[in-house]
Amino acid sequence: MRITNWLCLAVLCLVVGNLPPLAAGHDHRRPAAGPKKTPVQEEKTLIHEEFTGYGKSEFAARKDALNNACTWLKQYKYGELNWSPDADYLLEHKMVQFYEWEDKKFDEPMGVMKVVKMQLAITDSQDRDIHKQAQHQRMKERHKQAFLVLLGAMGLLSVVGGYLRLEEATKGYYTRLLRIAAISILVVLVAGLCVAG
Amino acid sequence: MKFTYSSGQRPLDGFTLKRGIGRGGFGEVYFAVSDGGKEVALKLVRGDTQIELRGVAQCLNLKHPNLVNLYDLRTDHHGDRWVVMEYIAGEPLNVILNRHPNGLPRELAREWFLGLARAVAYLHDHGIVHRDLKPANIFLENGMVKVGDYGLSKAIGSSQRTAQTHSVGTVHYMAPEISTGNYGKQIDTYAAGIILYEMLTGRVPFDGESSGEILMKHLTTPPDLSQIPTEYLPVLSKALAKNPSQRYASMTEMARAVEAIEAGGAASVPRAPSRVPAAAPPPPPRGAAVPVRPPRPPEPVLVALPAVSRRAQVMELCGSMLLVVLFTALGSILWTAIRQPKADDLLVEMGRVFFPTVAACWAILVPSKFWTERRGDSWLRRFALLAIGGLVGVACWWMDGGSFAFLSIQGAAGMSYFSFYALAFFAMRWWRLTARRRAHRFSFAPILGAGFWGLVLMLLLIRPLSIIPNPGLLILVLAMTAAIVQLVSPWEQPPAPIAKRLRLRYA
Repeated sequence: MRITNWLCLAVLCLVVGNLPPLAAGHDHRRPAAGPKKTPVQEEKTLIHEEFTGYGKSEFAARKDALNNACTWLKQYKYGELNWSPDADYLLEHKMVQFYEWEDKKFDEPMGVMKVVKMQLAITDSQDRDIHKQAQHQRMKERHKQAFLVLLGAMGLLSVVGGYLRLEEATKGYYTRLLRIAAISILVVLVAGLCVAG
Repeated sequence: MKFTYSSGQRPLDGFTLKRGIGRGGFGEVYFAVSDGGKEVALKLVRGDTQIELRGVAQCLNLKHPNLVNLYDLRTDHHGDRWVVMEYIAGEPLNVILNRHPNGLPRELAREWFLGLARAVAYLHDHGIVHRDLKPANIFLENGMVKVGDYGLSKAIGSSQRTAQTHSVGTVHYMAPEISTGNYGKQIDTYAAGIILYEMLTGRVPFDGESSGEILMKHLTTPPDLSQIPTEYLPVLSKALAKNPSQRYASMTEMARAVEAIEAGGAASVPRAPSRVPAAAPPPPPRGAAVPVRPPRPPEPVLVALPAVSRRAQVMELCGSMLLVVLFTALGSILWTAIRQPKADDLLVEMGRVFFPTVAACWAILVPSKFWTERRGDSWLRRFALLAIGGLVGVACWWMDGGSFAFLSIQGAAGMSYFSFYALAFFAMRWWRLTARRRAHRFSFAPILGAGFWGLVLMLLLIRPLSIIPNPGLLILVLAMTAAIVQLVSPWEQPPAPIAKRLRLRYA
């Protein structure tokens, strides 16, 4: 490679490496240089909300509170991620804390119900994990989509390549027949992909 | 390329069109089959049919092995004129010359030129001047030269009395005297000289930005013969003389000159092995010690690289792209087996290698397929690959779960993918890995090169790339791409002695 190529590459790298978006890494970026956090220091809590659950039993009340939290997260926090944490995820990652339950009397037909208050706290690192998990889910979905697109492309390539090869081999004697066959295969392929997709 | 008639139509009684095979200012050419089963080429004459058909009519009864035979001149029910002629399955010389930017092997150029000279001499002997000799009108079929396209040919006798008001021939092959209205057979000698020059060097002697500039060079500038093999210098300097009276008196004379020079100067040129088997040596006497000699390596055979039409290129491309998927799947399975991820992540882990590699290979194969035989635009190709690499990077970012809805958060990751692939595509001459005439069928050097560039870019972009999960996969993708692109690209071993000679000549 000539020296000008090397120089060009070096300049490009420098330019691209210093583009502003790279510095705007937001949450996913490494922490900026500065005083390091000690393990004792608590992480910054991004979400701090309290939810109330009602139920005939303590278990049902807790479940209701968890569902309320999940719905809230989906509606107001992680809706655009196409994935939001479910109840199991919140429990597994210790994002919720339940308080003591209490009985509360309501008008009939509900009667006496157990009421549980629950605190949802999501820290900075937990929020990052949720984003990662959402990204992982998106990756799975997109790999499926990409696979379907790839299947379609392979089908198209096979049909085009096969048509050209056969058309060449037969010197155009069966052009019409080959075209009909190629179009038929493509139609079947597209229909199959639509059904699968 | 849209043709007037499609396959299966019968615009001319007795012939069924099979497919269009060529198109130009003169009209369209179709491959067709007669009702009796004869395969022919049908030329639908458009434009100035008077000039075209006058020449065709004069050539209808000519017979020569190096001429494309003209069978008939017909008129369809629309009044359009058709020329029924021999169907040549081979390629025109200009397509072959495009694949030989440094010129043809000398032996081959000589053989083909002699075929051309015989055909033109035959035309001249029958009072016909071709007037449009150029590589596009010379076809090669089974190693045999066929001169075609008699569209502009006219009788010598009428050439000086009926001067045409419009230009004739093709400007790169146009003799200087045409500017004065002189259309003698010397213009064919001049055009044949230019063609010989082009076959030997890969370029025409007079080139320029405009037709006027080229014409002016034909009129005033002496040809640059510094690149011509010494034994051809006298032939070409005589054939390309500005004054027609100083050129060869006939094509036969020029052909004899080429034959004579080659006979003396061919000692340095490797020859094709004779097709006639030599007489077997007498058997050694019984009981005598027979010296054991190592077998001689086969002599290189001088051949033009096989013709690859655009249609064949598309077929090859389809096959290569399909093979990419197969090889990448195998590579991804191997990688996943080595990594042994959790069962849930098995497909995701495989997909993270598989899809980017397929995308990268396809992105290299598609443009490179139509680049490999051209030279001199390396920078253009690099910048094109830079853009394509950027697109591949964005596609990989999307497949890795990147979201445009969170561009403020994921923009850095997207930019990292974009930069990495764009620069990786820019850094290497990827199109060389797909070249039909690359030095080796498969080489580890490009794989190491891709790995090296991947590592360098990782180090340069380490800060933004650190946000990507397992960024080392990017290097693996590049290395796999370098390997797979080579594996799926067709390869033909170039004739080594000729390549070496040309390298020395152009060093």
